[in-house]
Amino acid sequence: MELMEADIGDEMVALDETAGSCFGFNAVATEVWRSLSTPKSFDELRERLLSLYDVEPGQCTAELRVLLADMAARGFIDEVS
Amino acid sequence: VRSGDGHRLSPELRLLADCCRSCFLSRSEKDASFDTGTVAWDRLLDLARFHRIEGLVWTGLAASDAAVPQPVAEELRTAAASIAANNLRAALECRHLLADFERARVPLLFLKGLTLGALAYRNPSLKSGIDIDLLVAPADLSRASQLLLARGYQLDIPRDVSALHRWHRRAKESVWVKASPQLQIDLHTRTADTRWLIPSIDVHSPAQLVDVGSGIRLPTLADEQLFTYLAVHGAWSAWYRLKWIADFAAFVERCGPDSVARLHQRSSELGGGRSAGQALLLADRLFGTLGRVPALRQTLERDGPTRALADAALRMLAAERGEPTERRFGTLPIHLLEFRLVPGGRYRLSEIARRAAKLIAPRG
Repeated sequence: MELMEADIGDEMVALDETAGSCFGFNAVATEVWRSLSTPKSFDELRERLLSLYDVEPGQCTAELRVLLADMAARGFIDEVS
Repeated sequence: VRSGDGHRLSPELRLLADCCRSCFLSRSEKDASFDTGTVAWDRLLDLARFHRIEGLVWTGLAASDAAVPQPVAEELRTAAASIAANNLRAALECRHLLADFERARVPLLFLKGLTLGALAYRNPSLKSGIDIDLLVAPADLSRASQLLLARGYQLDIPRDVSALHRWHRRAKESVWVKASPQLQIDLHTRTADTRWLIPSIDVHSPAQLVDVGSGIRLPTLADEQLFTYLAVHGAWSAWYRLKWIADFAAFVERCGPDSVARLHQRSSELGGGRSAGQALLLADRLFGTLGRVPALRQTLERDGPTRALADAALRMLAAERGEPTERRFGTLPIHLLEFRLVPGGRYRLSEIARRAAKLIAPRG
């Protein structure tokens, strides 16, 4: 999927060129999306977020899973083993 | 930053201007603390909407340490995201339009909009735009119209396609609209309403390619022509929206202090009249644009008509009276200022004649 991106401070808006749909990324989603410009493991992403935000590891793990599942469901990312 | 000639800006308008300014200053020059003590936030929101600068205001406030009430912050954040989304849709459309026009070998320039946002703020997503401005040669009007029709646009002003050529003889642009995605194109065949201003700036003027993101590069006027065009465009509406003068000041900032005197000189040569002087003085009063060009500031301040034009524009901004077209005789002060943009009685007589002809001509 081709996404066009626009920065608004530490957040982002993206446009799916094919469908014409727009998506808002909050600061955390933007950080995750930018980190995934090169493939990363779940643990690498989680460590990155833990270093940036004041969040409990358990909460970080749970919310990152939800975010990645959402991104995958929308076709933004592919999960590879 | 000076408020100028005793026209005091309200705390809300002052904060809006400071937010805009912070979007085009380099990181080291930015002042992260704004004076928000006496700001009425609801009023600030209304003004930000009217001046179409929600994206700039949100970006400025978000990067500052200002304590913005949560509902106001949320409203600005949402508006900024909406502006960014619209700009992405416009960028995609511009890519298609450029491809269409290139395939048909119809020379085309993009005016203001995304290209100006990318040049002035180094981010095409911040600046609000309600339309895509295209400039083509008058001789290409039919071919350009065909290309727009083929892309799903309908002529909105004038309504009747058969009136299009007649319309473009007296108006600089026609308006085209498309329902899905909802877009508006202003198709220009010249850059000013009156032939007395910038008659030589057209689609064949020197141009530059601007990266508006996602690998999309659009052609627009080169710096000297763009500077002059922006000054004339703002002057023609007496700069009643802060957005226009903020964009102009941002563009001047990006050109750098060493270029300002040359740009001003070239503007005169290109037929911009007093508009560049007015714009520079107004930008100076709002954003401190001439702080590093004191000699030019002094020269412009000494020129009575130019100073009067800048004062009048600042007065209109500071009065915060809203949309001029929605008030009886609201546009009268704007028209009176337009008469002073070019020295000499011949221009004024010609403008009176042009406006009279416009009043009695059919609306298409």
